[in-house]
Amino acid sequence: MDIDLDGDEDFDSGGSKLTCPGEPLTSAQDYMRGHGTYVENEEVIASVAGTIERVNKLVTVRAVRTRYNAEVGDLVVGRITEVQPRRWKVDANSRQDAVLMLSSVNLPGGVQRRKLESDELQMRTFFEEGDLLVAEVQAFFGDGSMSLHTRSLRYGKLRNGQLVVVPPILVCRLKSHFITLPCGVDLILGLNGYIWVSKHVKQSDREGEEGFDAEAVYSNQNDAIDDFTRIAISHVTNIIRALATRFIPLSDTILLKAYEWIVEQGSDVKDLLQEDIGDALVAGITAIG
Amino acid sequence: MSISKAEKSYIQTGLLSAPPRRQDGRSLLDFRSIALETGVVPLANGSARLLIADGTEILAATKLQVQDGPLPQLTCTVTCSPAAYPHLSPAALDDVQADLTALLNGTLSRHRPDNLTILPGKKAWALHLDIIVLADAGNVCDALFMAARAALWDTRVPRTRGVEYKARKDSGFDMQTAPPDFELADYWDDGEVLGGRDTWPVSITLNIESSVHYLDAILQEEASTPLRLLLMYSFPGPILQGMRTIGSGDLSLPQIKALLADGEKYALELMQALNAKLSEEDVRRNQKARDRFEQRY
Repeated sequence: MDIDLDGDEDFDSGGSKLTCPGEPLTSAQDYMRGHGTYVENEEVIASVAGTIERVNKLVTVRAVRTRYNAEVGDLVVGRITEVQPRRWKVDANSRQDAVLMLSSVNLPGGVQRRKLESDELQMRTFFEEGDLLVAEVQAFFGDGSMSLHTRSLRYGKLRNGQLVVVPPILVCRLKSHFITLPCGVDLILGLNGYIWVSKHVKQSDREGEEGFDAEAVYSNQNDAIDDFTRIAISHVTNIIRALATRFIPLSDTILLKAYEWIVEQGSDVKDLLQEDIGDALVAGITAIG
Repeated sequence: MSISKAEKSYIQTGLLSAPPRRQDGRSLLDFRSIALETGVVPLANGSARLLIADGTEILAATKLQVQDGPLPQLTCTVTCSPAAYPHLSPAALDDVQADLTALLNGTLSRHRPDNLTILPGKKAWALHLDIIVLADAGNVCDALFMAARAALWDTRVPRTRGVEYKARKDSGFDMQTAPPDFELADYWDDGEVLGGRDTWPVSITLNIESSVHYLDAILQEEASTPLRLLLMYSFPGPILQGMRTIGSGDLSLPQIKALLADGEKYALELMQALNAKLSEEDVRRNQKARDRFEQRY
């Protein structure tokens, strides 16, 4: 089956077209092949399952299931895998481990400060293996791996909560990826598909009184978390899992709606693990919207 | 999998609080939903695919081979897909495989189904059980044993009969007392089930976090729990077929006794649920075969 790409309205309408591997997309004479396609017999053919995109004469297919493709400025949640001289290796669900340089984190004793040899010797007091952090993509290296930075008071080590992993394509780009739900739960939607669900902490507490408090920022200690918050965190986690398994894109509004639906239904936390409740949730929130 | 100190402490505090809270809202003794299908590998004598809540995925298959000599032991091989453990180096992956293989072999190879002999003392079916771990989202040991049990349950042993070619009477040679060779009684017949197929053990993993224990841990929970106690029970009995502790914690004898009593209870429930599902699968597959047959003729 040939897909007609000649009508421009196909691309402008916003309704994305799905394709699957092996499907001929268009003629290779008129169009250039982009990522996710190859040329055979003068035809551009999809090599992955996903949505067809076109920029002028360049046809690409964005894969549905893929690793995270980073862009500069993206907010990601990552996990430290290795401590190396003057840098950390970070697993950010990308094809290669990301790099966090010692020079791109906030060091104790002031935001603007040169790194010292003593900092190099105590890198594990900032981040050690297994630690989760939220960071921003700063730049790319020559080999395509990304460099992160945590030079903002909102970025840094994560605590008081749990991690959920979803396919990266499901995380929408939002105005802010730091979301606070009214149930006392903070969400950090990493564009790499790692989502941190945690207890709500006031902005001022997180950053410390003096602007930057290294003790608080690099602490491994959780705050006291009450039972209600714990249940809410589990609820939100299960909602995210239920939506992700049914391939619903995650945004702040959808999550809020889903949480309201759950509260309305008065269902227990573990109910969402059941297939039919998850289906009902999706049906419920898509019907409202 | 390594997790951060904050995550670890979050999980531990949750488990020890009253009432206990787990990450996904399950109670301590709740299992995730398990999907099981038998007969998934056409070329195997028995096979099963097991999936725990879209996470842990195991494929198990058995193969029967004719072997000379007395009845051989069951041999198990566990292979882990590198995709299941992306953070492990190939050498570390080999270690995991060897570990799981030893665990399974040590427990299962003692069982000898009674209908694997073809010609007593001469030929027998050698039973090989091959298992692939396709994905690991926690509790891989219990899943392994369940998948193994399902595949062995599903195994059909071809019916055979001894054959003997005798020279004519007048030649005077008739020394053979037992038939030297065999043939398949019916080529098209799958055969009979393994003897004692409901006595294969099930495993239950008790994750022990100081005073409490819980079942069916997810990966993060496994990483934050100091000690795991694996108990392999077979029924009826119950007979404790194997036991193993994994982790750095320690247990006192009275604790172990209490855990054994609890483990037995959970294992019995697990076994009953598994048997019910396997019988259902048998019905489903036989029904399907019959329907297909009826459609054809």
